[in-house]
Formats: sequence, C-alpha cells, structure tokens
Amino acid sequence: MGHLSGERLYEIFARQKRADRLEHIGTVSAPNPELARVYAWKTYDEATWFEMVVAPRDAFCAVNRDEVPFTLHPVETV
Amino acid sequence: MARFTDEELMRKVQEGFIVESEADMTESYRKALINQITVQGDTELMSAPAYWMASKDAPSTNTMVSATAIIQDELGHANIAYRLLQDLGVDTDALLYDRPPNKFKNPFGFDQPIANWAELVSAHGLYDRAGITLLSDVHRHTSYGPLKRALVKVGMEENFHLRHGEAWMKKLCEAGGEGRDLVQRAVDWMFPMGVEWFGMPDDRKHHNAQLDFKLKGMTNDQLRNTWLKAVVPLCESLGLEVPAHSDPDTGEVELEYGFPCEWDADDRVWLYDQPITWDQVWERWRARGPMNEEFVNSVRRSRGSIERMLAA
Amino acid sequence: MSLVRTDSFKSADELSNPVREALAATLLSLADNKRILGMRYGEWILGAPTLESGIACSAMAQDEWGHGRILYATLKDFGLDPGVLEHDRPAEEYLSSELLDSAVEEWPDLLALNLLFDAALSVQVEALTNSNYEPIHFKTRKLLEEERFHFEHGRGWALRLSETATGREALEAAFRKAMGPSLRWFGRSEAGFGQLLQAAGVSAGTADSLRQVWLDRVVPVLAEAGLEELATEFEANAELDWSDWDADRRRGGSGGPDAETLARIRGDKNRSMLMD
Repeated sequence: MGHLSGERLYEIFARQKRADRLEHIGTVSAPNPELARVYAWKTYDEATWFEMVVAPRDAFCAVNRDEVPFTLHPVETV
Repeated sequence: MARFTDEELMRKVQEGFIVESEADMTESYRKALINQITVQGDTELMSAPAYWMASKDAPSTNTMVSATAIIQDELGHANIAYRLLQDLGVDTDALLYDRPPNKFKNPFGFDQPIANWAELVSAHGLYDRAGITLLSDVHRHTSYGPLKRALVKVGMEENFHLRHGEAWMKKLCEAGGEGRDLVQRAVDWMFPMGVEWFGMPDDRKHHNAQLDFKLKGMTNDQLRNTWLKAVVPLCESLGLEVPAHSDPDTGEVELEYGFPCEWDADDRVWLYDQPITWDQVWERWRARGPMNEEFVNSVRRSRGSIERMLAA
Repeated sequence: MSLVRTDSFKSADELSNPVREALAATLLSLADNKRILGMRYGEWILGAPTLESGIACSAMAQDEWGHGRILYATLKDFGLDPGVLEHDRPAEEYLSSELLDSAVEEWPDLLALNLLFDAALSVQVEALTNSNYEPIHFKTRKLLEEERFHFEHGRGWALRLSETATGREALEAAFRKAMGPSLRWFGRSEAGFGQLLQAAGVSAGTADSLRQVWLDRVVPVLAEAGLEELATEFEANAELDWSDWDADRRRGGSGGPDAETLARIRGDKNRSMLMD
C-alpha cells in the first residue's frame, strides 16, 4: 500500500460483459504500468471481467467541479 | 470545509444526503469517519496474519487455496479502507508502517493465535459473521458515498468467507472425532470473543457520532443481537455447546453468563463465574493479546529494506 | 521449438515405456515444483513491500497450487495415486528444484523465483500444449494465461528495483544465484527426457531448445533491467556446471524440501482434518 518511493495511484475501470458500461471499480498504487496491471487484475478479482483498464490518477482532469475524488489530496510522485 | 454546521449535516444525512468529498464534511464528521474506516482497515489487515498462521498448514492443497483466497480478500479490503483514508488526507504510510503495534484498532480476537484448521474455519464462521454484520449495516446506512461503493465488493467476498467457515464447521462436526472436538474447543474461546467484538453496550454510550452522522445504522447492542441470532442457532444445529440459547418461538437469544467476564490469557479460557466491568475490558484490550506485535511486524517484514533500496 | 507430428495418444498406456516414464517424471517435476513454489509465494503474502504486492503473491501462490493439483491429477493415468503423491512422500522423493528447498529470506530472491524459475516451468508447460499425449491439452491453457501475470509481476518489480544502484545490485545478486539452476532444470543436452519426449511428439522441445526459448524470454527483461552483463554471461556460456546434477530428480544436490516445507505441502499438522 501507499507510497513506496516512486509509486503513483492508478484508477481501475472495468466492464463485466459486452455492452456494459466501463465502471470505476477501484485504485491501486504501483511504480509502473506493468505492476499496476497485475495489481489491478489480482486485487479486483471479484468478477471475471470482460475488460479492465488502468490509468494514472494524475491524468484525470476535473471538468465541472473543483473537488472531485481523483484530484483531492493528489499524491506526490517522488 | 465547514460548508455546514454539525447540526445541519446531521439533519441532511438523516434526510438522505450523501457526502462525496471533504468539502461536504464537518470536522466532527471527518473525525468519526476516519476513526470508523481505521477500525475497519486494521481489522481486515490483522485478520491476514491471524488466518495465515493456520492456513499455511491447511490439510491439503485445495483447502490451502481456499484459505489463502480468503486472506487475499482481506488484504484487498484492508487496501480499500486505507485508500479511502488516504483520500481523506490521512498519512496511511505512517499508519501502516510506523504506528506502534498496540495502536492498531483491530478487535482482541485478532491479537490471538489461530492454531489449527478447526480454529481457522471457526474464525471464518464466527468472526467473518461479525464482520458482515458490521459492514452490511454500514453498507446499507452510510452517508459516505465512496465507502458505500467500496463495500459492494467487500460484502460479496465476506459472504464467501462465512460460507466457507460454516460449511467446514458442519463438515468437521458431522465427521465427529478429533475434528469435531477441535471445533468445540475453538468455539469455546471464540464465541465470547465474538460477543465482545461489538463493543460497549448501548447503556454505557451516551453520545454516538457514528449514528448521528449516519455512518452506521444500528447500535452496538442491535449489531451484537444480529450476530447472536445467526451464530447461536448455527452452533445449536451443529450440536456445539455455547453459553447462550435461542428461544425457538421468538428467535431471541439469551446469554447464559455475566457479560463481560474475565479471560484467562494463560489457559485461554473464559471464566464465566467472574464478571468484570467494561473498564476492565478496555484495560485488557489496551494491554493487547499475545500476537499483536508479531502480527503487525509480519506485515512490515521487507518494507524497510526495500524502501531503503529504492531511495538509494 | 517444434512438435513432431505422430499419432496422438489417448492414454499413458499407449506410450512406449521410456516415453511414459519420461513424461510422468516431467509432470511430477512440474507438479512438485509448483506445489512448493506456491509455498514460497505464500510466505510473502504478509511480508511483501506493499499490500498490493502481498495480494499478488497470494494470487500467484493459489495459481501455483491449482496448477500443482491439476498436474498431480494427470498422473493417475500413469498408475500413480495423487493422494499419495500429495500427502505421503518423503522429501527425497520430491522432484523439486534446489532453489525451492527452504523459505526465501529476501524479496529480490523471491523475484528471481518469480521471473526466472517460474518462467522455466511455464516454458515446459507450453511445450506440452499441443502434445500428442492428448489428456494434457485442455489443462494447459488457463494455466498459461495465469502465468502471464506472474511473469509481468516479476518484470515490473525487476524494472522498479533496477532504477537505483543498490536495487540493481540486489537484483543481480539474487538473479545470479537462480540463473544456473533454472537453466539446468531443462536437463542435459545429451540423451535424456527432453530428447525422448520431443522425438515422440509429446513435448515440443528438447532440453536445449526449451532452454533457448527460456533465454529468449528472460534475457530481454534482464537487459531492460540493466543487467546486460548477467544476460551475456549466461547466454554466451552454455557450459553449465552439472557436477551435482541428479537427472532423475531434475535438481542439484541430493536434498529436498526442508522439514517445515515438507510438513506444510503434505498437510501433516492438520492430517486428521483431511477430507478432500
């Protein structure tokens, strides 16, 4: 968990089956996309996802609000 | 912060308002929420070393897989809880890796060794039932949106743990012999641990921010009763003796001992004829159980060396 | 790596004696290694550097144990009793690598098992995917899918550790210890099980060709992680030290899993509650 040096937060999105919406299902901390993928797949294994993707939290841009979950308390990347 | 006063926020959440970010909170709300999620995260986290202690000696590969899957879920749930805390501005690194072990807020039951397979499945059956009782109430009632969403996965998985525990308790009891005796011995010390799990009785608590802010829906006694109404009939149906009985007509459960009572830590038995006060219970909890330090340290084993390696 | 096409075999009885024995030993070696590798992953569920990596170790442990179960079950067709294989053998009958004999103390050593040795097992499993011995077919696909994430975990951590000088040194030291045993695990070049299985169309590679597949897979990751020297050293120098090699047990040295490991993989402590 947390900020082992050089880690950043990745948001995880998935859909369970075709035609489903891509939904935000969780967050992991990882030092690179390789580990973010593994961690996401193994931590959120409650369903057999049709599709799962991860994106770094700091890539999200707020559109209509100043305070959104992804931008509050931004994690410093070391 | 401070968009609302405490009174305003209390009224709003009782009317169904969902808090989504710190801007919606008052300082008291934030404090109560952080405390609640810390207890939740610490409990999930410390279940992992307790469960691994017995899972690593599971009787077969199959059983080792299911027991380890449960540990994986618990770590995932701990991770979710700490992540929520992080989004509330809590330094979760310090919380996890620098906090003195005796400051972890897990129940006394997870300061205890889990010695064999029968104790492990009884823990799944009794303690995970306590977890579900607490968390499904939070899931249903919480006014904090991010927690409500996170608990969907948690609830689903805890149910699997519970089923695993109950199915195995049944299996061992029906097979008889040593397995059955070990389950009875496990229940002997775990059942009163479970009764204590839900904390102080309602008449000792005058003010409850968690209820006022709708961070949960049921009182301690209501939660304890919900647990008892599930666990006591289960034990009765398996022919396991517990110091409680259920009324077949009303379904109400009555304890047959003066709760709370003395715990003999050396012999690991409850002394039912020695009732104690809640201050004494708190004292025992604060003094921690025998595995507290070892369990916390086991989670931290390589953290320091890898941190140094990566910082160099 | 290529498969010799001959008639397919529906059961072990249809195989010639030497091929049957070589295949049984290969499957048992895979099963034993996976059962114990799972313990080694399991021992890092709690002590991993982050909660996420602990969760990954837990998942990898379960994967390995699941694979072990599947592989032990295949040995029924060879007249072996999976129950006995799983619960009643002494340490010296395990066909497991010397790398797995006891618990791994440091995280980089676990990564060496993860990236190097686990991948060696996968290369052998892959070689059985289109085997003429049909009963193994449908068992390998899910297994290899899960292994992709194991390799990715090892690679992700190798890349991360290699970002600092101390991290790279620790990684190199750990990987150096595991390179030889991993390369040797495929067996000797001269006549041996690899050649037999390949000639019968049961496995897609000889010892040497599988060794090469493995090198092609791990060497680029070593290079990515700044361990070019280590990569070249082992790539260029095929001269492995076979002095303590036990060909029958596919391991170096005469030992086996230590007492604690053995008791755990057999389930000794809770034997009275064995009810599978």
